[in-house]
Formats: sequence, C-alpha cells, structure tokens
Amino acid sequence: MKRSILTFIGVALLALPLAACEKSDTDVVVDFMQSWMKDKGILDADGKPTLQAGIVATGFGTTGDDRVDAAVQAGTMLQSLHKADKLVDEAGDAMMGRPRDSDLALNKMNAAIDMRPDDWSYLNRRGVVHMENGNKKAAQADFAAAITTCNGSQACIDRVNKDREAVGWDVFGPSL
Amino acid sequence: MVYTQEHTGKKSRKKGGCRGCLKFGLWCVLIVFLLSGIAAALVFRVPQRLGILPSATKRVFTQTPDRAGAKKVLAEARAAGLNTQGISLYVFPVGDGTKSIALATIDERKGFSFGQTAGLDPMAHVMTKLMAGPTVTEIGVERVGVHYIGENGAQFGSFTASADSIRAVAAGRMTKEQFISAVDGDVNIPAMLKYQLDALTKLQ
Repeated sequence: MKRSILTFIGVALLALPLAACEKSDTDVVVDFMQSWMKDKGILDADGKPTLQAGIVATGFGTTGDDRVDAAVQAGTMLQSLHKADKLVDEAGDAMMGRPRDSDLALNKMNAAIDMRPDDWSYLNRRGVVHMENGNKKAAQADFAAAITTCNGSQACIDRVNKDREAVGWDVFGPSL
Repeated sequence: MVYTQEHTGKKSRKKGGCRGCLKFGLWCVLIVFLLSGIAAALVFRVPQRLGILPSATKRVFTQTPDRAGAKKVLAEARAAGLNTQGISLYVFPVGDGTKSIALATIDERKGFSFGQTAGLDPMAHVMTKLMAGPTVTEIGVERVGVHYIGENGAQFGSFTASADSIRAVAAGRMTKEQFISAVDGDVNIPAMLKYQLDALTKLQ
C-alpha cells in the first residue's frame, strides 16, 4: 500500500513540466511519454495519474496483439542479442588478427551459440571458423544445422545461403 | 411420544439444507475467486513472467534477425537525415518470413541525438526516418519498435507503431496527435521518476 502511494506521488511528479531551460534528448522523450500517457488515459488531462498508472507502473499488461506486445517487450531480448553479437564480433576479430587465434574465435562462437542456439547466422560463422581450421566435418554439420533452423521456409533458406556466401568471402577471407 | 429433533426428519433436513446452502455459497465464492485470479494472471502475463508459457517476444521472434536487411535500412535512414550514432537496429522476420518487424534500440550514452525533428515528436521522427528507404518495403517491414535508453542508462520506454501509420504521419495524412494514439508502448515509470527527481535535485 505504502509502495503504491509512493508510486502515485511519484507519477504525479511526472506531470510537472520539465524545469530545465535547455531540454536534453531525454527531456524530449519524457515530454513525448507524458503526451502518450495522457492519450492512453494513464495521466488525465491535467497530468494527474489515473488508476491505470498503477498497472503501468508494474510493467504488466497486454495490448491483445502478440506482435505489438512482442515489439514492446523486446528490450531484454535485444540486450541479450547485443551481448551474443558482441561475442561473434570478437570471434571475427580473433580470426582476422595477426596471428589468427581460431581457438579463441571458436570459444567465442560457442558462447554465442549457447545464448542463441537457433541463430543460423552464428552457425554459419562457426562453420566458417571450422572450415578455416580444416575441420570440414564440423563445418558441414554447422552449415546443415543452420538450414535445419529454417524449418523448411524457403525465404529463410535463401537468407542462410546468402549469409554464408557473405561470411565466407567478406568476413574471414575467401574460404568457401 | 415426545418428538425430539433427532426424530423429526423434517427439521434435521432443514438444518442440513441450510448447511448445504452455506457450502454451495462458499463454493461459488471460491470459484469466482479462482476465475478472477486466473483472468488477472492472464491479463498481467503471470505465466509468461514465471516462464510457464513463452512470452510474446519468444513466440513472435523465433527467427534469426535479418542483419543484412537491418544494415541497409539503417544506411537509408542515415541518408534520409537520421543521426544513427547510438542506434542499433534488428529486423526480425515474422510468420512465414515474408513480413518483418524492425526493432531499434536508441542509446543516448552512445552519442544519439534527435537533432532537428521537423515538427514531429521524437518517436515519429525516428520511425519515419527508419521507414524512409526502399528496403523496408523489400523486406516487408510491417511494424517498427523503438526502445529508448536515456543518458543515465535506464530504459525509459518502448514504443511501436505500424508501418501504415508511420507512412501516414510522414506523408501528412495523420496528425501528430493521431499518431500518438496509434502508438502502443510501455513506460518505465520508476526510471522516469528517478530522472525527474535527479533533475529537480540538480536545480536546487
């Protein structure tokens, strides 16, 4: 109860106009959010919080449309994706370095694939690392696994093949 | 012969009937509570939060992002005048892979600035620029999402609009107010509060 009261007092503060003379980009976004919250009935016309503010404060709720919900709730997933992509970039750096460190590259790729096992672009890249190491069997297994993640979707298979050409020739040198 | 309550079936039946009513009432209350609880749990996405059911994000974004497509979209947005420093973009194919959803993370700490927004609100500005090039049509972008990370590192909010409404506001067929109505989103109220309080403290 105490927490809800504090939340409501806090939300009331949001209704205060930003006092800073020069608005930062965050201020601009906060202004937008206030307009949006008024439009959605989270704040009333005077900028006071409505009951709906309590629900919004909990971070729960749904629009009833899966794709809209997914787009709104994707923040955490995107952060995890950034981390995995960073590992892949580091693997690329290890492969492009002089001397080339393919063990480090492989470790980074394994860690990225652990985070996103169904990401065919990672499987493609690890396949290329295996190829560079002369491990054709492992490379072929990764390339096959990349196609398997498409579940038969031709659009996906086309993208996998296109990506494989790109990583083979552009990222790690002409290996395929 | 003296008839006691024990001998009068009528009376004891009556007594039993009342107990039955009470039990029935209690069951009704319990069922109503249970149904309300289930409804509330579904509305507030409790099973997804507990990991019992996959979240909307997990259900919709099952496919590998189209990184090449995202690179092109971002380059076209840059050419259209968007400051892309601090923006990372992912394009996720959805359904049978012919449609997709573009998700941008804007991180003010990494040098993002809105700059001139040509009278549009900041989200409309970013979304219209992301939809400016031909690639979005080629890869079937049907929706754009923007996740904003402020100067203090907190994620302030996430907003999304359909490609149709973004095109409409860009072409002037939709007003700024109508566009705000067409935007769905989520606001991180605690992060906003902290930002506001910090700003007030700085002023004092």
